[in-house]
Amino acid sequence: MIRLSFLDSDAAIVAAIRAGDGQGGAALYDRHHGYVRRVLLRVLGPDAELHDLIQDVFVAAIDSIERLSEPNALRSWLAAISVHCARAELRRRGRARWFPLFPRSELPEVEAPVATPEIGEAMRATYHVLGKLGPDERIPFALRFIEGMELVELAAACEISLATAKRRLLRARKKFVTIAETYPALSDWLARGAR
Amino acid sequence: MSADELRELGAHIAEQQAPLLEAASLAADGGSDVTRRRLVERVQRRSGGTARGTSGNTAARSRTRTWLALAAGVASTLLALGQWLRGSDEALRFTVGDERGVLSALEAAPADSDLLLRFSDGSLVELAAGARARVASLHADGADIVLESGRARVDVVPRRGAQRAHWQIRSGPFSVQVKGTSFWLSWDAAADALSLELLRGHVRVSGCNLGEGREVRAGERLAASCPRSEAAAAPATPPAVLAPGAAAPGQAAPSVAEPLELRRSAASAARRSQARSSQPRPLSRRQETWQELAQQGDFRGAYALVASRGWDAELAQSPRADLLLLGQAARVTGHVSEAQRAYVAVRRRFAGSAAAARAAFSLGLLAFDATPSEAIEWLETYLAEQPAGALAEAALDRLLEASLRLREPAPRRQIAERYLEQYAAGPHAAEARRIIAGSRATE
Repeated sequence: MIRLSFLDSDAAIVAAIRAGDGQGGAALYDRHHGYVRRVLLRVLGPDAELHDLIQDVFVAAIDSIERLSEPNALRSWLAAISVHCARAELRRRGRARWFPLFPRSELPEVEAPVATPEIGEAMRATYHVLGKLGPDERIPFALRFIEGMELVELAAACEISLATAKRRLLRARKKFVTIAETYPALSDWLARGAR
Repeated sequence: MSADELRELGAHIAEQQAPLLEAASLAADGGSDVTRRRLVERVQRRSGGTARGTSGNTAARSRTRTWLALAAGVASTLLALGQWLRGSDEALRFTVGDERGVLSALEAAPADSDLLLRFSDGSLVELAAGARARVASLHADGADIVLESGRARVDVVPRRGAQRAHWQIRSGPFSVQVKGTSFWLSWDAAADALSLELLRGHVRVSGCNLGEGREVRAGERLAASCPRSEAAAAPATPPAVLAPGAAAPGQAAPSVAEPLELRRSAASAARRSQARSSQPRPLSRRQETWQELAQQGDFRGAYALVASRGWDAELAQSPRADLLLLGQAARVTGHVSEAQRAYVAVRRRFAGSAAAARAAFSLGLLAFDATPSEAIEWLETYLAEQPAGALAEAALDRLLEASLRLREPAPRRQIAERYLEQYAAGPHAAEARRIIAGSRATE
């Protein structure tokens, strides 16, 4: 069993990783895995591959740690890597859907570890609708409306300009509302908007 | 639908996701050593100039997939792509400690330390001290492992794309089918008792009185025993935490002293016998209390048991520790209003106690995603009641994070300043400084 040495700041963690101290990798995970998990969950929804993607994010972060210019910005940098991984995963699944050699039954399952019927419907419907949006629309939508990110934070996480973030959000909103009309579980929310 | 209404829907979704994050966090807290170990190794390999390893190189995988996807449109490349989709035909390899592993050799962890079996696809089997196992066979997409006795942590790396991992872990007459997941498995050969605690993903356990098999999902535990006698309807070694579906008479557990092939035959014969059994009878299940179920991690079972008996009596009579546990069971299973009732009951019945402060903290977590202003009130309540409490730093962390969700900047700055005063090197220190700098700029 690995037990951590105490690394008490992001800067110390980054310095440890750059120096090849393995405990830096463990401390990075301990301090930020909750946040990375949340960003990925918001974008992808409950997902069987979430755990692997979290590992992918941390591996990518360790491999490219030299590119982090401001160690105190580690958390927002991890958000950007998480978004990058989520986008790559969404694109991979998009290709899989169009490619006939992938049997439908073998496409990644969506599973909610503790979802219960009473809490599941709106979430399932929302992610079903988001599944019909492209990654460039889905990701800003999820980060803005589900995670509650500020626009500046969102733009940084998506590595796009503020204007592009606004444009994509507007497009995503229009598409989401149009598609959501066909989902009974979301009709209450739409009806509220109409009132 | 306006932006505010979309935010309201989003907050609702975030609220629904809170128990998922909580459950995942619990699972990670209980079983992230393998992940940590991988990251430690990754950093060490990186410093040795070999960061471009085989496991988890997202960029490399992504580039490969992109090329393959482009090639998919060309008929002449379909065959090659199909080959890629099937994955390598080469069987996995494994090491035991630092040595190359040998098929069917009995591997035994020393009495005072663990023994790690490392597979070429990144999967790990960690034998706890004193445990014994052997790798019966290896193939391209998995392995067949026999846990002879003791406890093992299994961490199977799922295969990506169309391929699925096919791992089987056998213990006595039981078989665990694995696709990609993490779990603890214990086999008590003397008592013929199996215990499985799933940390991630899901597995199917079959054999003996489990009939066709039983799905076990993340956060659940399974305890099963295989009766040696004919008295299958009244098993000698309860409990089965997840009630096995059926028991077939006449199934004797194989002895651990038997040769491997003999044991395979016995297990196979037992399964055939099981399949012929037409009228399975349910096993009797020891009545466990909801507290026992919750302490074992079966929050759904605990919640269901309390719900079937009525909440009011529990809320009125249970001691403070039970009420906190009840709140946790309701929170983790997504029953937010019931969780609130439990925590409010703690605060009402045990006002001024540490448990009441703890309940305030939990109420803050419940409100965290959906109503940050309410979360702030509860977290402030905790800090007022337990300023040096064990959860004080976590409360201030959450307070700062909740304040970022508020539209008014004033409380944000004040909380950020308090945070920095107490935890200048805390995980949110950089954000706190940014908040303060941002508010100064707008003054």
